[in-house]
Parts: sequence; structure tokens; C-alpha cells
Amino acid sequence: MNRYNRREFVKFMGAVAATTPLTWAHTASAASGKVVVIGGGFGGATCANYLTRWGSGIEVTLVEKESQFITCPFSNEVIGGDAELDSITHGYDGLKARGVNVVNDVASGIDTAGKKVSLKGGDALDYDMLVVSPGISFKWGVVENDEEATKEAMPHAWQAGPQTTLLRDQIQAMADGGTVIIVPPTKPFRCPPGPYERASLIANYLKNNKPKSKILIVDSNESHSKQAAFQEGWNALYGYGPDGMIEWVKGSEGGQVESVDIASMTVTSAFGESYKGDVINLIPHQTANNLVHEAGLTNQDGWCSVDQGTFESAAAKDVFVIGDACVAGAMPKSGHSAASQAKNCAAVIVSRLAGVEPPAPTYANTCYSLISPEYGISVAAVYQLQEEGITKVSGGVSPLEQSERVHSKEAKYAKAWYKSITTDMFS
Amino acid sequence: MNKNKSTRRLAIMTLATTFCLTFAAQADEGVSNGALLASMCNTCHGVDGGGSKSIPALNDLESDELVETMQAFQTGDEDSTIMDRHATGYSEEQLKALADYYTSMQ
Repeated sequence: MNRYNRREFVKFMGAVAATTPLTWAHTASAASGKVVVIGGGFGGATCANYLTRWGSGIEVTLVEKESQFITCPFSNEVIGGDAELDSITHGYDGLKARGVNVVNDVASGIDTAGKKVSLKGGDALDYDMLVVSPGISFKWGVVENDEEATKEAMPHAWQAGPQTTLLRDQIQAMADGGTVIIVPPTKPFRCPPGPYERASLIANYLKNNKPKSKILIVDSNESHSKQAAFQEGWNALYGYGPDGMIEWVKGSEGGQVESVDIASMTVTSAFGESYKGDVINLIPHQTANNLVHEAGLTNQDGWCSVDQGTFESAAAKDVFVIGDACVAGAMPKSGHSAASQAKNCAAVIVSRLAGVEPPAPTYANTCYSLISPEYGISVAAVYQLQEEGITKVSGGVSPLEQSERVHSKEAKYAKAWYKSITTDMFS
Repeated sequence: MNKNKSTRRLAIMTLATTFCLTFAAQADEGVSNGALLASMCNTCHGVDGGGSKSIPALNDLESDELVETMQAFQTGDEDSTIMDRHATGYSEEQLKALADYYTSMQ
């Protein structure tokens, strides 16, 4: 270094030193840390994705037991014979390409004091922040014989995969004139419109292939999601009521199913009514996934209470619970809700790790249901955080008495929504 | 190189260094209200608001156009199947933050 350059260098370093406090302040506020996400569904995959979008310095690990994710949305299309399982199956390569460390293992325990997740494979993962998006577990035994019955004889098809194709195959093997019984669980459960969309798309298959058949929804609930819009669509397309293809029996009128019998293929209500089916879809009662029960993150109702602005668990610091397992005010347990919660949660974590204020929470849900592949309805809502928690501030169900064109548009939007939400998660 | 040139060069080097470090940090510094709002829209309207099949793109709209269209959904001036049910949930301030975010990406 010659004399001139040395002098210039000294001056330059002085100038750098003068600006260092400012620069350092910025560098110190860049988000960095280890975040572990448990569960690679709508909540977990979206959260992992947005953590990498918004916090490039964060080390994100996603723990998921399956190597592929098969979505519940559009699985009713598979059951109705309008789509194949491949079309609702997604891999994790996009998340890996974003830098997410995808660990194909089962999270077997959470040590919230030691900030560690243990894996069934034997490893353990340390975390600064933990996101748990574990979904549901079934509450076996609420309906007598439910666990045994759903294995083969009366598939639940409420976790998409082999159960989905099992139910489809049973319907396709049924003779014309047969009865399909659907038994929805008591609220709250994953995907509130799901059982009724399922009835619709099975009816669409039966109408085209086995028109003398019948669908009986034996429901412990007194009302259901998008009820008026479903019933209007059923009336228009399939016939609804005792003389139609679809009949709905509510809880107080004999729908409260207490037991099932595999040998006679019957379901029996609390009042003693028995219904015989040729195909029975028994959807079990639900609770938050067993993992969060064992980790002590659930409340007395079996779901996870969280701060509804941040999704941080009421039971453990630096642990966030999103998706079906959490209590999120007025939001339903849907894939869209889980994705919305995931983005809020990712924003909170990135901000916290950067030492800055998070953005104002904002939430939305959109659930399309298909009454036929060309007839769609929806429920949509925007929510705000208010004193009592996440509160609906706008939205509602598709209005009644719409034209065929509007229903056709909603069916197209349903497919576009599916493409969009899954790309948003996995790319 | 004379003294003036030297000073100018020093200033440029200093600014450049500060800018690079600052910019890198800012990119990671947090999430704006507009970015979080847009992420809600993108669930249906495609990655980065780029559209998805029959659901239109948002990221190529003029800022005023997005706000005006959402306000027309709110009042019913613009026909919709679902957007009226969403639009009424947002304040003018939120719509402007959202529009500014999409415009900043263009």
C-alpha cells in the first residue's frame, strides 16, 4: 500500500466507523434464528414457505411424516370419480428449493422448556421458535365401534389417501338402487362443508351411473355449513328430501349416531333408529392432533388456545399453533384459514426475530364447494382482531337464486383457487 | 488524483458500503402491512398476485384501479360473485396499503 492509498484507506475506515452504528443497527435487526415447523399441510407448508420469503436469514426446518401431501380439498372429486388422486398430490421439492430443510420423520415429542423437538427416528431439533400445525386426530369411541369400522367397512376418507380411493371403489361397486350413508361428526370438525359437498359429488356420480340410488346424511348436528345453498343445489340437480336422491336427517330427528355395526352395515341413533347402508362413510369425531395433547398445548375442549393476534400458544412461549388444531375465533377449520393463519404467524416470527413490530394482523377465508363439477357455491369472510378475538367483519355464503352462469363461474373459481393455494404453499 | 477526486471517491465508497449493508438488512427487516394484506389476496389470486386460471392478476393493476375496483365492490357498483363479500371487510387505508404494495413490486 503506498502512502496515498494508505491515507485514503485510513480515511475510508474512519468513514465506515462513523456509519457503523447505523449499519450495525440494521444488521442486528435482520431476522435470523432457527424455526422448526411441524406438519406439512396447508398451515405448516405455507408458514415454512413465507418464513423463507420474508426472512431470508432464518433457518427453517419442516418436519413431516409423509413424503407427499394429499389434500382433503378436491378429494370429494376423487370420491365422485371426477379426478384421480395424483391430481391432489403434492411434493415438497419446491420448499426444498426455497431452502427449507424438509425432514421426513414423525415429531414424537415437544420439550417446550428445553426448546427441542424429538423425532421418532431418534434425532432432536433445537428451535428458537416452533410452529405446530399438526391437524386433527380422531376421537375414537364416541361412536361405538368407529375405529374398527372405519378401517375397511365404513371408510372415513377424512384424511385423504387410501381411504379416499377405498370409499370411491365401494361406491363404484355398489348396485343401482343402493343406499350410501354419510355420518358427519359433531362440530367442530375439519372442513365444515366437506360432508355435504361429498354428498353432492357422490350424487352426481349416482345420477349419471346408478340413478335409482339414494344418499342419506345421518347428522348429529342441527344445522350445517352453507345449508340453504346446498339444499337449493340438491333440489335443482338431484332432488332433496324423502322423495329425492339426497335426504338429510338432523340430530333431533334421529341423526345422533351412537353406534355402528359392521356385520349388518347399520348405524344406530341415540333414539334407537337404525339405518342400513350399502356403503357407509363414517366420519369420526375430532380433536387436535395427539402430539399437541401430549405436549400439554391443549385446553379443556381438546383444542389449542392461542393469542389470536400472533398464534403463540397460551401454554408455551415461542410455540405457535396454527391450522385445524388451534382455536382461532370465528375462523372455520379450513385449509384456507390455516394458510391465512400461517402467513400471520410467519410475519410475527420474522418480525420478532428481527426485533421490529409485526404488521397489523389480517385474516381471510374462502371455501368453495362443488354441488356438481359445474355448479359451485362458496363461503367467504374477512376477519379482524378485536377484543373478543378473531371476529368476522364481512362475508357470507353465495346468495340463493343465482343463475347457472354464476354457479358455473364459482365452479371455475374453485379450481383456480385450488391451483393458487397449492402453488402458494409449495413453490 | 487530486484531493477533490479523492474525497468524492471516498464519499461514493462510503455510501455504497452503507447502502449495500442497509439494503440487505432492510430486505429482511420485517413485513409491511401491505405485504401481509397482499399475501391474503394471493391465496386465490396466485403467487405474488400474478393470477390463477380464471382468477385475475392483481400485480399489474394501477394503484388507483385496485382501490377503485374494491370500493366499487363495496358499494355494489361492480358486479361480483364473491369479491363483494371480501371487499367490505377492508378499510380505505388497508386498500391503499395493499395497492401501494403491489405497485411497488412492478
